[in-house]
This record gives sequence, C-alpha cells and structure tokens, in this order.
Amino acid sequence: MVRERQQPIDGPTSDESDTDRSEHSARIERLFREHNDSLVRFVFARLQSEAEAHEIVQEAYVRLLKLDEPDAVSYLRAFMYRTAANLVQDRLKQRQRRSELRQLLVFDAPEPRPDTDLAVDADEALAIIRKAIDEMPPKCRMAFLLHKVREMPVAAVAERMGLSVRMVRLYVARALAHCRERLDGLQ
Amino acid sequence: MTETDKTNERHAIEQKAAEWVLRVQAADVTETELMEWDAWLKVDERHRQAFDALEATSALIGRERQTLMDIPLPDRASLAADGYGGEQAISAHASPGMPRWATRWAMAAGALLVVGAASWLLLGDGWIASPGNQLKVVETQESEHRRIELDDGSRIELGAASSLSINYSTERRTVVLETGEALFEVFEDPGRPFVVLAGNGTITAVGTAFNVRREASRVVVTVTEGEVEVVQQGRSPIVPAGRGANAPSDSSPARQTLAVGERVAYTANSMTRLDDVMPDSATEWRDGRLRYRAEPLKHVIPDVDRYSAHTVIIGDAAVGDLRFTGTVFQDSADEWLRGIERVFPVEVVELDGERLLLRLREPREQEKMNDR
Repeated sequence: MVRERQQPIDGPTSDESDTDRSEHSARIERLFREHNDSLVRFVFARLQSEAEAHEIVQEAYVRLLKLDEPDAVSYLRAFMYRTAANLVQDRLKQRQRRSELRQLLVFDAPEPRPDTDLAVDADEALAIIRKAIDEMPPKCRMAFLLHKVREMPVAAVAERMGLSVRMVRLYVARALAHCRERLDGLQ
Repeated sequence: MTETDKTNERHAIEQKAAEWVLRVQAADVTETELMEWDAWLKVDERHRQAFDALEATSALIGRERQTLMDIPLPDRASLAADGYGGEQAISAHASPGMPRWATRWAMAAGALLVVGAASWLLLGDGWIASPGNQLKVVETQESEHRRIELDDGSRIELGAASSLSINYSTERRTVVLETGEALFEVFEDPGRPFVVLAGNGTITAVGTAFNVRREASRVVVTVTEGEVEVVQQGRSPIVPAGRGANAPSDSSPARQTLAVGERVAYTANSMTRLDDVMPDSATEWRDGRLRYRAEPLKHVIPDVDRYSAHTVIIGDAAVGDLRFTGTVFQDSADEWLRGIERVFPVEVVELDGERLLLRLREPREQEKMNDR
C-alpha cells in the first residue's frame, strides 16, 4: 500500500530500534483496545458471525504488529481499518467459493429445513416489515426492494431509477429506519 | 425539549445510523469512512445503540429477503406521482390527507379499464375471452417453431414439439409451459407480473427475456436479458402473495434470482445453479442450432429428439452420463443421432421404423460377437 507519510504525533522516536519495536507494539495494542468495539461491530455487520469477527480482529492485530516500519498513529488507524476490511473481503470470497462447491456436490439433494423455533419470531417480525414496506412512499419502496430484497447494487438501482447514488442511499436508509421504527412499535 | 423535538432527534439519529449501516456493509467502504463512523459511534451512547438496532434490522431483512421477494415493485404511475424526497422520516411524511386505500382504489379502477379495452380487441381468433381473463393454447409439431405476439407487447418463441397455454388476467400474466422449450421476451409491467409455470416451479419476470426448457426430469431456465426470479416448490405450483409467512416449513420454496447469462435447473425436489453461459447460446435453437458444452447425453438426447422423426430411448443410464460438446443442426438431427456411434462407445439400434435405442457398447459384448 503506497501512502503519503505523515509526521508522527506521538513525541520523539528513539534511535534504538528495540525501543522502537516495543513502542510500536504498545501503540498498536492501545489502538486495538480503543477501537476493538468498532472493529468487531464492523466485521459483524459484514459477516454476521461473532466468532469470525473476533478472529478477524485478532488477525488484523497480528498483521499490524508484524508491520516493518512503525508509523504515525493516524496512519496506523486507517491501516487497521483497511486490514480488517481486506480480511472481510477475503472471508466473503472464501464463503462464496465454498457455497459454489456445495452446490456442485449436493446436486439433486433436498433443501435443508429451516429452524422452526426461530421461524415463529421471524414470522412476526416479517409481518411488521411487510406492513412497513407497504407504508413506504413508492420511490423509497422501489429503492429499498431493489437494493435490500433483490440485492441490486446501489449504483445499479440509481441507474434504473434515474437517481443519484446519494439519493438512493438516502431512500434506502429512510426505508430501513422506518422498518426499525415499526419493529420498535413506535409511532 | 418538546415531544416533536425528541421525535425529530430520534429520527435524525436513526437515519444517520441507517446510512452508516449501508456504508459499513458496502464492499467499497473506505478506511476514512470507517474512521468517521468510529468517531460518530463514540460521540453518543445513543449512536451506538441506534447503529446496532439498525444493523440487526438490516441483517433480519437480509436473512429473510427471499420471502419478501413476492412484494411487487411500484408501478410507473405511482413512482411518477411520488413527491417524497427523503427530507424527513417516512412516519413523519405520511400525510393525514387522503387515506391510502382511496388512492389504491383509483389506480386499480384505471388498470381495469385498460385491460378491459384490450380484451375486446382480442375476441375471436381462437381466444377464449372473459372480462379481463384470456386463455389460449399453442402447440408446435416436431421441427416446427412458432412466434407468438401477445397483446401486452410481450413475445414468445415456441420451440419444436412444445406446447403452452397463456392465461392473462388483470393481476397477472401466466403462461404454462406444458412441454418443450420457449424463449420469453417480456414487456415490462410492474403491476402485472409475468409468470411462467413449468413443472413444479415458477419463473417470474418484470421486463426481461429468458429461455425455459422442460426436460424429462428437470426444467432449465436461462436469462438472456434483465433479471428473473425462479421458485421451485415441493407441492402446489403457486404460493399466493403474502402467504409465505404461514406456509409450513417442509413446503418452503427454493428461490434463485438470475441475472443475464445465469442458469438454474430444477427438479421435483431441488434447484441447482448451472455454469453461466453466453446469453446468446441459450437462444441459438431459434436459428436452427443446438449447442452444448460438456452436457450429459440424458439432457442432450430429449432436446435433439424434438427435432427428429424418431423417438429416442436411452437404454443405459451410463449412456445418459456421457458428455457431449458440440453443435447439433436441427435439420439433420436424425443424422446426428445415427452418428453418435462414431463418437461415443454407444450402439444405436433401430427397434422399428420409429424408435431408436441407445445402449452402451461394452468390450465384453464385442468379444462375444467376435467369438461367433
């Protein structure tokens, strides 16, 4: 990754490289402690797995520790997020490969049954979401259905609806917030 | 702070949280955005709570999105009439003026009028027309193709030895592919989905083109334009809209949304994604060519058979598993069938004037013949 170097903010650096090392480690540890919550939250939002979220944050931590040249905190913070984001992408690709492989292997096998215990609550929530979708103004509903239900990328939705990407994001966010509001049972 | 102020503040936080959920989940999120997001989370405990709540909502919708697939997209007229620009929360926007049902009723009446007029034009010419409901059956002979122009601007190209019935109502355009193969070019009408029933599955399109081929034990769907949704059901061919939530779990349908070039095959109890193809190759049958890439003979033979004067029987499961790559020209389907012997370890036996039997040519059998 090529990036413009920034001035270290954390006081003078020692000439002794061992001290550099341990200072670097301490800095990274502080950084991860401070941002651990957000990092786990970020990975969880993409992968929906608590275990994988912790694994990836761990791995990002190890990668940053191995960094050759200790650098300024502001750069490290960005690099920490970039590393986590890259690890998430790798994991998603891995999952896709695995599911493609599974599809090849289970040719003609019946679909697995959904967990019925969970389905009761989900059904109730789904009924509320259906009603919330019905209440959405048409353009908002269109953007929401295309992006969240039909998994069309935001840019494709924007093109299809003749809107800007920013506008599509606004509509989908409004729609999502509306679903939440209805699920919370608020007016 | 008044109640309204509080509501507005909550709406603002939830809106921001929802926008962050979308960004954080996007593949192209940048590290700068993530740092901004991290800072936003730390400003206020309510930010973090709102983010987690919105993220959970987004995840729930993501998990259940297949069951929400039956919700129709808004039609053009209602999109054009929509003045909401996302300035405030949806619940704050909903105007207390005209109740929703009144608008609905007015739109439904408009749609009914248009369809009513169209069905008058189509009386006679083999159409059985009842108000807003039309039924037509079309069949082709071996080696025959037929082009069908529908009153809504959609077109169907029906392959050889194929049959389908067309049933148009005010809510839905339904075509049942009974046998064979057809290419559908669907004219977009979000208020009136175009649904093809084939075997125990349904293929739903809004404005798009796709090919459906019924084989002995499976149905193959290939998208050549736009996007379609394929639903494979255990039992009944159609689940009425909105009933998905109550359906027992063992009949829950398998669903796939396909984009251009994507293919699925479904059978009585499963649905499988096949390798993507060039969209054109799925429609080459219209130009007299059947093209295959490493396709098992059990799928190739019934297809070619629809262009042959013979009825072909695969006598050996092992023959059906042999894979064929190449092109069959429809006007020489019989020659190709006889030529199989030269390419595969297969023997073609003419049973009577009409039926051809394909069976494996085993080394042992040849030895026996040599002994004689």
